[in-house]
Formats: sequence, structure tokens, C-alpha cells
Amino acid sequence: MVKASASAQAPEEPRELFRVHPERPIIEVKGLNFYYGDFQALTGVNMTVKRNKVTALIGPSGCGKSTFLRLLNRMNELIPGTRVEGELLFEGVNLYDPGVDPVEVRRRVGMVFQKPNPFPKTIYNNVAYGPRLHGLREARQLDHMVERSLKSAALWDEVKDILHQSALGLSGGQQQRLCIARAIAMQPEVLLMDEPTSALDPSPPAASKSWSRNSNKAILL
Amino acid sequence: MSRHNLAMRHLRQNLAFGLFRLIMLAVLGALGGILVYVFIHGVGAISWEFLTQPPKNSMTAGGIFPAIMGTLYLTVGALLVALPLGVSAAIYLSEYATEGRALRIVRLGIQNLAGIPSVVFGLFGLALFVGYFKLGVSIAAGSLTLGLLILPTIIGASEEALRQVPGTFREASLGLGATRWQTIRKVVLPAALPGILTGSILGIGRAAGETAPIMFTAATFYTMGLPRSPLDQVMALPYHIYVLATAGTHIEQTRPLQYGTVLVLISLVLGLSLVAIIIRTRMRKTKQW
Repeated sequence: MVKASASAQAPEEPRELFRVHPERPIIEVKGLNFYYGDFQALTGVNMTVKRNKVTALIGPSGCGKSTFLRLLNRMNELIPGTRVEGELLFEGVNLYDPGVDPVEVRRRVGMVFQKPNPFPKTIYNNVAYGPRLHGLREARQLDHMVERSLKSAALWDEVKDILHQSALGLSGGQQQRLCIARAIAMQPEVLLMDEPTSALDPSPPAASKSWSRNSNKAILL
Repeated sequence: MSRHNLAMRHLRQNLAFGLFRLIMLAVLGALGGILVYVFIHGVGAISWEFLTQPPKNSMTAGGIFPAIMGTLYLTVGALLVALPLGVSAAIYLSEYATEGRALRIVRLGIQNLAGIPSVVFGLFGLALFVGYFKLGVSIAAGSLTLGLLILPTIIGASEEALRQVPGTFREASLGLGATRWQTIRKVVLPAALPGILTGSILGIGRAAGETAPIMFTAATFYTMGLPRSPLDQVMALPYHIYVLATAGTHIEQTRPLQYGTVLVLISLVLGLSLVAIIIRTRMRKTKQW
């Protein structure tokens, strides 16, 4: 299940660390092992994730899909007693190199979690959360960003009149699309989605199809 | 299960519930009894003059205005000391510190702090703030002492409130590339504020009502007017009650004034708590999960 999305945009301004080489896969995983304490959850994972494609991971419940996804934006290291072996290259840089800042990784590799987890804030402030974190203050730019992200997540029409109401008043499916919009608003280079359909009413590809920048999405079903 | 057995079980349940109800009524009765008793004896003393004038004629007449203001200053001062310290400590304990022996010892220390008799805090405040830091017997010294006294309460309630914030909020925020501090400041702390306020309410009650910690550090027998700076002594309601009831020369004559002062103190604590409760309810309306 691999889908191309149209985009031939020029690479972003080169950063010191993650340089974009369009010919190279955006993510390469080599000989990855992962442990929760003594328990080995992932063994010898090798895979490449192509740029500008939707990649789906399929497997039975409990086989480590979520664990693997959470390695790609370094969320697992928040759990005490976990250990990573092998290489996890994002734009050619090992994400687990000592010089790599997990905060920077998570800005570039966005994530939508299995269960919707909107903040107890307004819909607007949920979507604007990420951009604000990174210093976007200008109201018109924020408005624009919020609208575009909500449209990409196919939620705009339903919430455009209640942007300043609590996100917790939304239905489960709407909350999940809000979380997608929140992740999109960060303009990540990779978007990880952990079984987003389990709480989603319309299909996620439909929701994220309109979002097709020079980005690459790993969708886990 | 036989029918008889079921009947027995229902009977036992009713007995248990009945017992709990009785105990609850006894507790409420005791509380209500105290309040009613104080109200009946104290309401006669309450007047505009009582609330707005300083005492007159060796405390046998006049009002308690300086003591009301003194207790307000001391309580607010204690909160100003204890809230920033307590919330910071709670954030450290719940968000940054890793579980282990060191953390257990710190927690134990905080719990023990809560068990220390208040007079010990008073003497400690006398030695440290009044003496060593040369603040003298003053609002500043009293606020610092009371602040230390309510610190464990504030830390405990704040830590509990922070723990109640679902981990998914932290995950979502960190997943968006927030630092831990950004996550705490923008997501965790706002969500925990109602619980932190609950701790403050308990702290307010304690700080306003304690006599021993301010006896040596802040309170004075009598002042004509209001304090002009944080380094001035103040009258305070609990100390005023203590003085009227034990140290005065006209204990019998001042009895109505004592009850009146008690009533004012209780009302003041309830009023301050009510403000905190209203703020908390406002916050809860928008933050629920």
C-alpha cells in the first residue's frame, strides 16, 4: 500500500544536521534492536522509508509496530529502562547519535497517537500549540496555519465556527482529526500515525491526502 | 445463591451503610455544633465598629481591625512564600526527579515536615528569620515562618495534582517537539492548577489559624494603627484570641469579644477559601478530561 503524492518542491534551507538529499530514502533502519529492560521488543529490523510516499506497517497486535514508530521520533526513551541498538538514519543522520537533540527530532518527525489526546484547551489553541512552541506569535500567520492544518485534516468545516471552544467537546473521531491537524501544523518532514483509524470516522488517507508537501508519511494500520 | 443468603447480604449492606451514615452525621454534628456555638456567642459582638476600629480600654472595647488586616497580610505573605517554593518542589518531584532512594528520602523529609509541631516552627522562625536574618518580629518573619509551615501541604497537594494530569498530555506535547519545560509550563501546570489551588485552600486555613508560629515571629499584643512596612509587627486574629482568653486582665469582660474574634477568624478563612474555590471552579469548567 504505497501511494505517491505530488510534490517537487525544492529542499528546505540546509540545516546543520539533517541535510536533505532528494535521491536518498528519508529514513533508513539498519539492524535495529530494542529492549524494554530485559525484554527484547524488536529484533533486527531493516527497512527504508521513501520520500513523498505513504508507507504502511502491517502486523498482528503486539508485534511491535507502535514501538517501532515511537523509535522514529525518540518517544520511547521517555520510558525508563529502554535501550536501542543498531542504526536509525533520518536524512542520513543516526537519530540516536549523542549530538542529536530529541526535541529537534520530534519537531521534524511528527506523531499522531493511537488514542486521540487533545490538550484541554480550545480547538484553536490545540492546533496553534506547535507553531507557538517554535516562536510563531503573529496572529494572522497563526490563523492561517490553523485554518490550513484543519482543512488538511478534513475538520475545518465542522469546527470553523467553534474554534474557541474546548477541544474536549468534540467527538472521538473529530478529536483524532484535530490531533492530525495539530501534528500537521508543525509541518513535519515525516508524519507517524499509530493506528489512526481506530478512532477515525472517515478514512485517514482522505484526511491527509490534501496534505502533500515535500513530506513523507508513515501510516501504520 | 439462595434467596435467604441474598436477604442476609442486603441486611449486612444496610447495616454497614447505616453505620457509615451515623458516623458521618456525628462528624458533621461536631463541626456544625462548633460553628453554631461560636456564631451564637459571637454574633452579638459583631458590629461595624468591631470590624473597623482598633481595640480600646485595655481590649475591653473597640474593634479588631488591626488584627484582621494582620492576619490577611500574614496569610497572603505565607502563600507568597509557600506557593512558588512548593509548586517548584512539586514540579521537580513529579516531573524531573527519577524514582529511587534519594527521592524516597526527600519525600519522607517533606512528610515529616508536615508532622512537626507548629511551636517548633515558631521557635525556628525566631532563631532564623527574627534573629539570624535580623528581620525582627515582623510580617516578613511571620510570613516566612508560616510559609514553611504550610509548605508540606502545598507540595503534597501540588505533586498529587501534577500526577493526576494524564501522561498522554505530556506525550502529545513532547511529540510536537516541546521541551520538557515547555510541556510543564503550557500543558501540565495549567491542567494541574485546580488541584494546586485545593492545596492552597488547605494552606490558607492553616496559615490564618496558627498561633504558635507567629507568637515569636510576627504578632504583637496591641498596635494602634496598621503596619507601614513588612518589617513592622502586627496584631493577628489567632494571637488576639489567645491574648484575650489568657493574658488579659479582664478575661470575663472580653469573653463576647473573644467569640466575636473567633467568628471573624472563621469567616475570614472561609472567605479566603471561597475565593480559591471560585477560581478553581472557573478553571475546571474549561479544563476537564
